[in-house]
Amino acid sequence: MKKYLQVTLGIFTSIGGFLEVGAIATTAQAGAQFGFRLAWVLLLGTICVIFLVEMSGRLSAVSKHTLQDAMRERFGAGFFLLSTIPGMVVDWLVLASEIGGVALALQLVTGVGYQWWAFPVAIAAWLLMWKGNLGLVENGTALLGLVALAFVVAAVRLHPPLHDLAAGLVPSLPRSDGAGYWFLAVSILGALISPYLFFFYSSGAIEDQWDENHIGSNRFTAIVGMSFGAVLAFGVLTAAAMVFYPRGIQVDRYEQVALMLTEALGRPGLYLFAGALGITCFGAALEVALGRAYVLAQGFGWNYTLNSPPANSARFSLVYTGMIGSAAVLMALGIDPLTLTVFSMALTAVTLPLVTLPFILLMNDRAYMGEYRNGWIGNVAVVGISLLASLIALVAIPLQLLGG
Amino acid sequence: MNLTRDILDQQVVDRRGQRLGKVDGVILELREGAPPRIAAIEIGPVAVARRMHPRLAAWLQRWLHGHGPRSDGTLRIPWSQVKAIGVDVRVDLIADGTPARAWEEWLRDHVVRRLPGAE
Amino acid sequence: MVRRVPLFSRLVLIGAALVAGCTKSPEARTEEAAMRLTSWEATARLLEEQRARGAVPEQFVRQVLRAAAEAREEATAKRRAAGAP
Repeated sequence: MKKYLQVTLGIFTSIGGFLEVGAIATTAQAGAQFGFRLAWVLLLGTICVIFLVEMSGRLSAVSKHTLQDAMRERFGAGFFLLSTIPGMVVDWLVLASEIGGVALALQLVTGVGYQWWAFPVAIAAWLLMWKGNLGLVENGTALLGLVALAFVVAAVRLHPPLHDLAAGLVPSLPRSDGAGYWFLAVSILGALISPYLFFFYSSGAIEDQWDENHIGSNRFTAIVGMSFGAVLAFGVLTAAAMVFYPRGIQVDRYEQVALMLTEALGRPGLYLFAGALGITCFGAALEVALGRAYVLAQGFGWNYTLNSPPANSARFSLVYTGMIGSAAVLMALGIDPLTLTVFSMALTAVTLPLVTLPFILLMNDRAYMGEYRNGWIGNVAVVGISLLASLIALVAIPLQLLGG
Repeated sequence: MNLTRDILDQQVVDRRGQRLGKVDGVILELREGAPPRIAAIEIGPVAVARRMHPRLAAWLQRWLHGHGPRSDGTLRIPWSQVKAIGVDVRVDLIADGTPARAWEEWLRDHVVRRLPGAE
Repeated sequence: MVRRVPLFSRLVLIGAALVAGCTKSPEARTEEAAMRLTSWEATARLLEEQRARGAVPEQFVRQVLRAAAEAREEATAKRRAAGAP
């Protein structure tokens, strides 16, 4: 019974990690600009992240190391320092985007501009980490995040042509606006395949003292949880493709994105959208800030815990405090949340191989994994997708910057 | 025993199970007519910096001595105090008060404790 | 004797060609600005339809219209900068 509860909660938590501001923004833009034609990228990203989340859990359960611990041990301090700096910058931008998502949700409901909500949101998130009520919050936001099912309900009510959706699942080349197409494609991949998720997940597995017995439930959680999140993201893509694409509406602001739910669901649509956006982003903000704090603490060997007062882990606590405070500044200054979101997702795609390649090496290392090493499918899928994403992003980002 | 594989960059844990740091450096003792022997392990950011570039290490040492607890955070643990090597490297001492904790304790006292609800 | 162009210079030339080829011409910029304008016009129409049905609260309508006005300003400024009439 207890394991069953653990698995369901694990699934719900995976949802929050999957659908957040990056997934919402990039899939909404993709649906608006290209209809269903980028659906295959969503599928590819889902497959990749299922493999990676499962690996994060398996690595921790078998090797008794978190991902970052194992990476420092296996690849040394130099690699840790070199790879952690770009990772930190990207995480910071992603964190600012998540705070922006919550702030925007509050703006939609109250009419008060998102810039005013940036610091209150950051303080609320900080208090929850400072006071260590993380278990309750994570489970709470994961359960409340089910409001994101509104996207699926909306998508169904709009009667999408199933053969168009199916056709979109086959990879295709763009007919027009090639730079925009590939830029969005890598942004979607960066939104779905987020390194902070793996670091956070493996830290949780170690904290919960997983062992070989958890491998089965971990596999189940990864597949079901991430697939559920993917269904939600497909809901967003579909709704955008049905509401915006035929009308020639490009998505430039979150205010427009809300219209797809009000179109399909009426008055409640606005509040459901704000709820889905705000709740998923809040949970994600916590995961990003803590994920990065875990990475630094584990990379440098500090003592860290959320189960005792912050004074017992001063450096760890100051990392997430500093990150969330400074990230809030970006939003308070009025930087456009949607633009920042899509760009930080594209940047995530660029830095992906810095995490996935050493990760794959670890997953095939007998010293860490013993008989539980990777099969060839997982290796090929992860290496292939992440390298492809990074290479395309390296070309697509400058093109988009130059053209925009 | 493979130094880089089994000792370097491993997590060091004290007598009570508290995390102390990573093995940032290993001090070898060179002997005449015998293979080199591990004299001590070293924890500290300067040891890491030295592995990158000696000038970086020198600069970092100056900076660390000039700020905060005025300590470069280097703790050298003689090999005799290393009790076990497995998932972690277990050492026979208490972390508190050692240079490895200098910056942690300084930041705790001067920054974290100033914020509400830190205890 | 054939003079060989050093690798670095070659890379710079290729980079410059890419940049020149990929930065948008004034016509493309005008077209993009025009598309942005039509996109927001369509947004406003959709908004009006929903408002007529009572599907959106007034304060949200104001938010969207404010965003539309800002976007219109940006797009017209871009068109002017690109040299459109």
